[in-house]
Amino acid sequence: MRASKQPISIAAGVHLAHEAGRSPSWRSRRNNPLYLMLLPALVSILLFNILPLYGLVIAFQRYNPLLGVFGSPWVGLANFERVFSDLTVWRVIRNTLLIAIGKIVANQAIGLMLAILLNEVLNQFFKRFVQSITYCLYFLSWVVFGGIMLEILSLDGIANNLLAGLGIPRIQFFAEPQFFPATLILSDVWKNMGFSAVVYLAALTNVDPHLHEAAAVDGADRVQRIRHITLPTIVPTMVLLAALSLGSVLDAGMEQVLVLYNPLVYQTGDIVDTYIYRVAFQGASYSIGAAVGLAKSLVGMVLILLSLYLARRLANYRIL
Amino acid sequence: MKQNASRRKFLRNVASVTGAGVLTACGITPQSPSSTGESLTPTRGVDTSPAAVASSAPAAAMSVPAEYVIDAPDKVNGWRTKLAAPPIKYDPPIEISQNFDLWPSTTFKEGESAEHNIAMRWHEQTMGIKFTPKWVSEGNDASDAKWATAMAAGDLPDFMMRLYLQRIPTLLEAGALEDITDAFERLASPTTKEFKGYPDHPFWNYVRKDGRIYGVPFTSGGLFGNDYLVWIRQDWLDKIGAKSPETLDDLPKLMKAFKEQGLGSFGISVAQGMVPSQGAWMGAVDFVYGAYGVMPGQWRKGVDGKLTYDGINPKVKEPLAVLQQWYADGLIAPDFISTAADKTGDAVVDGKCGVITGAGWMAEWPLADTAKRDAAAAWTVHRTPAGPAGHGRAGTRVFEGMTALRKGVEPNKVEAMIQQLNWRLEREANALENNDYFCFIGWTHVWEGDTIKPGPSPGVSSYEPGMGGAAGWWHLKQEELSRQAREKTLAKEKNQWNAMEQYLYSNPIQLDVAKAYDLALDTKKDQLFSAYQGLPGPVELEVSGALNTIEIESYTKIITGRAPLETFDDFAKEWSANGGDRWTEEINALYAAQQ
Repeated sequence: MRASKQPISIAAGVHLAHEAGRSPSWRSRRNNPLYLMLLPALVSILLFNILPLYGLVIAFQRYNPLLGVFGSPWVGLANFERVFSDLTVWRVIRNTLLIAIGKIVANQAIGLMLAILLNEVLNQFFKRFVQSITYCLYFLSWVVFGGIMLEILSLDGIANNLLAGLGIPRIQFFAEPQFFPATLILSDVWKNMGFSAVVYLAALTNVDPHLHEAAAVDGADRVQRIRHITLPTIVPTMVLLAALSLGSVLDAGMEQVLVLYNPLVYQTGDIVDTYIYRVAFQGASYSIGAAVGLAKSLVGMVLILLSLYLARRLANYRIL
Repeated sequence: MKQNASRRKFLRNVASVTGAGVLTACGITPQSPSSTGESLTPTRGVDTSPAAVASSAPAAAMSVPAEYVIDAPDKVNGWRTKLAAPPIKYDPPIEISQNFDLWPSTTFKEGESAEHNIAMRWHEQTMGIKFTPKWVSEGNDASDAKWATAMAAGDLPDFMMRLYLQRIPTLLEAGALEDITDAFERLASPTTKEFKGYPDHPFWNYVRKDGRIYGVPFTSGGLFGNDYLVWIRQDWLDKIGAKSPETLDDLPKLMKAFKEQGLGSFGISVAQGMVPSQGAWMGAVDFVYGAYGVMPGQWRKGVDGKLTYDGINPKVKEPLAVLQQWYADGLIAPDFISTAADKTGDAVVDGKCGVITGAGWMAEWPLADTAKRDAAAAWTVHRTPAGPAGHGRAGTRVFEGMTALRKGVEPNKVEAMIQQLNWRLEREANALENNDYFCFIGWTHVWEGDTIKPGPSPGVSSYEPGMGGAAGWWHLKQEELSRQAREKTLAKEKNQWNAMEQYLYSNPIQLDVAKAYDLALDTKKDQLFSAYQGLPGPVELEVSGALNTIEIESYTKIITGRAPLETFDDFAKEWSANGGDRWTEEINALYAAQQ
């Protein structure tokens, strides 16, 4: 019985009346079919994601597939020692972090800008046209797109011809270690900005048009409206996306680097995955791969927990 | 609602019909028609002692059913094959399971496949060996997946065809391969032992563990498949009236002369890996190092009998200086660092340069393609120019992989495989000696009027089963005997050639390829080999990755002028300090154990 005289909607009233005659456990049992529908997914996760975790022990063995997990000899932390005492490993880790973080920041920033700009376009046809064009690069594989980049940025390619026309000396983009990370990041942004823009555009549909109208009436121009209404609305999405991508910060895009790199840029371009790929250890690849994977996952876990904490604090976004 | 329901039903029906159709299409490959040939009556299998097999080879011919023979008396210069009897026939037939890892888009005749084809029937009828497929896979990824499953389940095929270097240590360590030392000693014929260089040839070191043999090695490039000679555009040479460069100084002079005459925009097409050990299988510059008597990537025996790594040898500074000069003079394309080996051919096809290094097969690809752009283009192959240490080039590592049997396999299967190898090598010896080839007419080759043409089933020859198939098709005497056979043929009048000789020797490009291999054979003393040839040890697996990385970085920086020549010494120190010394110790220990 309601103490205060607050109006309740008819639907809510019906809802309450519906529940009035039921037993207390009805509420939890009512959800049973829903839990049942979750069951296959849970079983699948258990079988394919949780159960195989025991296989991580091969990171502490010298794994031989013929001897199996239980028959292979144990080597303790030797695999980790081997990876981390490697001459070039810290350089490789540094490169991975720099390139990955650079990519995350650049992708989000430029995707966001593109989305905001597209959002303001009135001509629907033009908007869809631009969206499609920027989006289709996302579907090219790096083998193809990498080849295109190599051509465009070669010494007598379009980019250098442009520079030469402006009187700037030609740059060997793929031979100078200082340019290489920028090349990687910018080509990745070019390829993926359509995709990030689409995500942000979807978030932008949440912006309340009434607020825009009210602001326009109050005399705010376009830029001020974007700054004060649009951006704050999508800050949660931004934070969420950045936080989610933090977990994959050690995957700096192996396919791209593999296609574009060469010995002169190993210094700044060699990442964990390409390094492991190149030194494909014969016969011991399983254990080394598992050790590196385990190390990456541990770092990833710390970062994800950190990012969830940040998301909760900064954007009031709660997952756990 | 009703409309939605019927629409959903329609879509469901379409989906299920399509799904069913796709399943049927991809499902069963049609079985080959059961063999219809009359039963064979070969002369009874002779006794298996090596002496008896060798002596019986020329005498006992066998009558082979028509479908297997290129006997065609009604063809002009048709050609009959004579085959020695198989050394043994198993009655009832024995079954040997084998893996079939095919290259993608391998073609077989209509209705046939890797596991059901004429070569399979042939082995069943002649030797009584029935090869059953343990699995069939196409492409590297599929093959790796099948191997992983098989190894995890411990369920290996009886006979393993083509094990490459990545897989061998895993199998050897787990003791999964059968020790065939005694069987091979006892059963391999003298021809087999000679043609496979048993037991002294270095490629046996890769299959030996603690003095016992665990398989038979094979090569697929022969002795010179990875020996890189210098190809130069002959029409450009003629235009400027120059001759073949003899010394290492002549080559840059020649390349500069080409540039001055407007022939090409740079001199030589180089791959990013630079030497064969770093992955440059075309556009390698190993000859520059070889001219100074060093070869990065190889281990050299010093006067004190100790092995040292040539990559840190101070003498390397001299060829590096030469290459640095070539780069500075614009003789090496500035973007060579982004050019993988397979792309080095593009520069020559586009007419951008006139010099490239590579093996004999290059006469066909990519060099033949230059004629499409420029009809006057012609290429000749030259010996690598000489430097202060004479001529030198990296020698082909003959070991490509091995064939093996799984541990615990029945002894008669081991015997069967070795006998099959014997028979195959016998046929090879016979073919090369008498220009008397054996092939499956209608499959690997067909008659077209009076000429032989490639047939619809090249897969049959590439994937002939068993040890004879994998380890018998290319042997160590290949180049020598091929050349003798070819010279015998070329000495005759063309109208006296039989159909197979016409097929093999009429194409001028094939003759160019052959000439290149002849040159490699004639100059084989130029080959530089690593003193240690064998499986890598644990230290190598641990440190070689990082050390190879800094090596190629250092060399590339020096050659492109981004670092002065003196940094080589810093690199050498870094190399030694970061595992190089341990690696050297290990190599010396392994080498000593081999002696």
